[in-house]
Amino acid sequence: MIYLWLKAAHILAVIIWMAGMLSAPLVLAALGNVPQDQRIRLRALFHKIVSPAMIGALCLGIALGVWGDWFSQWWLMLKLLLVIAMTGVHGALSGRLRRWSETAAHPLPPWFARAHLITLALLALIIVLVVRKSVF
Amino acid sequence: MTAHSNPPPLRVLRRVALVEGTTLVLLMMVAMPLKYLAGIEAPVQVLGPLHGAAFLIYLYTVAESWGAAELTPLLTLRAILAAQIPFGTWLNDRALARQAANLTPSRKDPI
Repeated sequence: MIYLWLKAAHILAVIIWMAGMLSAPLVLAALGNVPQDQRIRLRALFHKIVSPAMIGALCLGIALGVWGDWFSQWWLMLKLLLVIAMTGVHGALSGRLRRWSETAAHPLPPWFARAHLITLALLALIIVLVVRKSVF
Repeated sequence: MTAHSNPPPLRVLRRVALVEGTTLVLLMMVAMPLKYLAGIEAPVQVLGPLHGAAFLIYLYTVAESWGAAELTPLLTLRAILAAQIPFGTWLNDRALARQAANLTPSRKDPI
């Protein structure tokens, strides 16, 4: 019973995390050059919603792995590598948002506008692994 | 939150690197020998997850610093590789300190 509650909370946290990761590059690319106070507010939103969702998803995922005794499964090891990569992408986005909010006229680099594609690719691989519990 | 509340460049990364390096050294030099030479498993059971968490936070912070244009791609790669070997992040600290000093007078964008 507790396992199912953990699973539901994990899925919720992942949805919020991914929503932020997928939308942040698109929203910022669409906004263009906005005043600095808006930049700071956007960064604060990311840190108040998306970053806690990432921490929640990671902690709940580890709890699920321990509770369900999944850590002996090789697909979970592969998933963990992808999650680490996803955490890195989140870090890069977060850092770029920090830089963008610090400097009034700082433009976003070209890779930022396409960061959602990396997130999407990692997410697709993770979903295949979790649903099939195998690559093939 | 304001843009001016941020710490100086790379300060957070250097501190996290110190913690990550310390947990790796303790795991490799203390906990693992205790497990395999003396059969005492408790230190590995404590330090293993602790180092895992420190490693994840370190990688996140490296990526964050790269995203914030505080690390060049080469320094980013070097920081990631440094975390794979004992004492690596300690030895890499001088390179991070140099980069921090370069960034402080006028922020450059190495990306």
